[in-house]
Amino acid sequence: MLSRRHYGESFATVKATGNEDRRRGVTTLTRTPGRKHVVRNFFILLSILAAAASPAAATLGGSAESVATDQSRFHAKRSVVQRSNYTVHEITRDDGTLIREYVTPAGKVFGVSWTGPTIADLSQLLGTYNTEFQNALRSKRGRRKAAVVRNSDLVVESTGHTRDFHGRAYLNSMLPSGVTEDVVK
Amino acid sequence: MRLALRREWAAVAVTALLLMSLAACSGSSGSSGISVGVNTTPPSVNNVQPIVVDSGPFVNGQPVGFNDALYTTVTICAPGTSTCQSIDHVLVDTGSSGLRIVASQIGLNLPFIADANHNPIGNCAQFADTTYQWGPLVNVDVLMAGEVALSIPIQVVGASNFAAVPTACSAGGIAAQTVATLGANGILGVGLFRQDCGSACASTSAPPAVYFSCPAQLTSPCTAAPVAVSAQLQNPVWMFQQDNNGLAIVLPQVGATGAVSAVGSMVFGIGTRSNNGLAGARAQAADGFGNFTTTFNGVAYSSSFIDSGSGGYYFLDSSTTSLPNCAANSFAAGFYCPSTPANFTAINSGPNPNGTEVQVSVNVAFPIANALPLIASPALAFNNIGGPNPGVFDWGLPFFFGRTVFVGIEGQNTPAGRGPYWAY
Repeated sequence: MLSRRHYGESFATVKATGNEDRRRGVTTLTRTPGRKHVVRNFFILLSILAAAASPAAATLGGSAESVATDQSRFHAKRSVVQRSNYTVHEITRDDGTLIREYVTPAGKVFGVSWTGPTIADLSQLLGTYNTEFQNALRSKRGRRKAAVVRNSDLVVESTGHTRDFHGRAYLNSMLPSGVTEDVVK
Repeated sequence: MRLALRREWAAVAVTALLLMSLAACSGSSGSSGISVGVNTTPPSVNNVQPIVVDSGPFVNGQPVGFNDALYTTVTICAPGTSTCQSIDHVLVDTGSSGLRIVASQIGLNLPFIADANHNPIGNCAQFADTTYQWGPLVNVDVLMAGEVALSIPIQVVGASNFAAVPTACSAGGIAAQTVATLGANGILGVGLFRQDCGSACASTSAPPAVYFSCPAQLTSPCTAAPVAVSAQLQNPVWMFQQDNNGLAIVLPQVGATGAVSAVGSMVFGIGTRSNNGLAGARAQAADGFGNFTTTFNGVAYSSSFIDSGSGGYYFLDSSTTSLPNCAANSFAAGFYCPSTPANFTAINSGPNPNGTEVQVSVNVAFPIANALPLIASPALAFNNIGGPNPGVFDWGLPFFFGRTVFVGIEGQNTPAGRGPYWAY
C-alpha cells in the first residue's frame, strides 16, 4: 500500500522563476500556510481517487496529480521548474535517483526521464504505456543492451549498466506546441 | 571441441579440489575469504580459464543462447568442502560484478545468508534492457582455472523457495531468471568493481534497490536494506589468493561473415606472472560509475563503457550514425541493417591510471554490417553487428574479437596503476 507520509508536503505552490537556466531555475516547493489544511484535504481526496484508479494513477500521459503520487511512492523530494511551454518536476531520492516529469500547460505528463543506481519503477513512471514498451521489447532480438522503442506515439530509451542507469520516455502526440522531444532528458 | 573442453574442465576441477584441500588444511573457512597466507611469489597455479562464444546451454534439446554471448564454466563448492559442481555456459560479463547462478542449476545444499536479525538477504540485478534477476545470497567457494575465491556470496537467481521479487527490483521489467530466458546458466560479473554495488548499498539512510531484508518466514515483502560492503556480491577475481588485481579477456579475430564459435582465454592477474603482462596495451581509467568518454564525429559521449555481456556494438542512433534500423517486424529488430558495411572510427579517452591523470586517447575502428543476413546465418560470433543506444557507446562483445582487453579492478595495484581501468 502507498505510504501517506508525504502527502501533506506534496501539494504546494510553486515558485516560478521564469529562469531558463535549468539548474539556477530550480526552486524548492514551499507550503502556503493559510491553505495548508484545505490543500491537504483536497490532496488526500485526489490521492484516494488516484489510488482507486490504480494503476492508472501513474504518470506518462496522465495528469499532473500523478506526479505527486510518484513523489509519495518514491519517498522523494520534489522541485519544480517552470519553462515557457511546460513544467519540469524533479523528484530526487536520497539513493541518487533523479526522476524528471515533464508537464504540459494543460497539466498532462508528456515525458519522463530517470537516472540512478537502479532502474526506476517503469510500471509506475510509464503507467499503462509500460505494457506497450515491454511488448515491443519482447519482439526484439539480442539481450543485455539498451532498450529502445520508437512507436508512432510512444518513444522509450533505457540504457546504462550496473550502478548507472538512465533513460527517458515521451509521447509525440502530447508534446506542447513549440517543444521538441530534446527537452526530455 | 566440446569434448576437448570437457577434458580441460575435468583437469581444472581436479586441480581446484587439490587446492581446496590445501585451503581446508590451513583452517580458512571464515567469511573473509582472504585468510590463506599469500606468498610473495605466486604459486604456479593455472591462471588461464577457457572461454567460448557458442550457441549456449541447451533446454529441451535446443540451444537457448544468442549472438555474441561469451561463456565459461565455473566450479562452485559448499564452503570449505570438496562438495563441488561445475556449471557450464555462465555468461562472462565485464559490465557487472559478482557471480549469479540460476537456481535450477545448483545441486549443492547452500543455506541463505541472513542479516544480524536472521532475516535472509535478497539481491537484485537489473540490466538496461529492463530484465532483472532476483534471489537470495549464499556462500560458495568459486574455482576457475587454478584460482580459488573462498566462501564468497553469490546470488541464486530465481530461487523458488525464496521471497517474491520486490516491485523496486522488477521495476516493471522482464524476469530473466531461467536458463531459457537468460540464455545462460548464470552470469559471471568480472567487471571493474569489487562488488556489485559497493558503498552506496552500505548506506543506512538510503540504500538503493539492490539489497533487501526479507522476513524470516518469507511471507511479507522484502524491503531495501543496507548491507556491509564485505557481505555484498563479490567479483570473484579480486577474492583470489593471487592474480587478483584484474584479468584479461583474449578472443581471436573473426571474419566479416562471423564464426559458428570462437574459443579464447580469460587470464587472471595483470603483470603478476609471465603470461599476463600489459605489453603495449594502453590503460584508461574509468570513472566511479565505470564509464569513460567516447568521442564520435567531434561529439563526446561521457557515459560510454565496455561490456562483454552486450551482444553488439550498441551506440547512438540512426540520425547520428546514418545507419538504418532493421525492420521492427524482422528478427533482426533492435540492430542496424545498413545495405553495405560501414566503417567507423571513434576515440576512447580516460585519465592514465598511473597517477599522472594525463588523458590517454585510443582510436578504435569498427565495422557495422547488415545484421539481418548475419543473424540468419549459422554463425554466432560477429565483430560487426550493432544497434541503437542513444547518447551512449556500449562497446559490446564485437569489440573483444582480435584484442586482449584488460580489466583493472578498482583499488587494486597493477603495473599500469590502480583500477578501475581498461587497457587494450
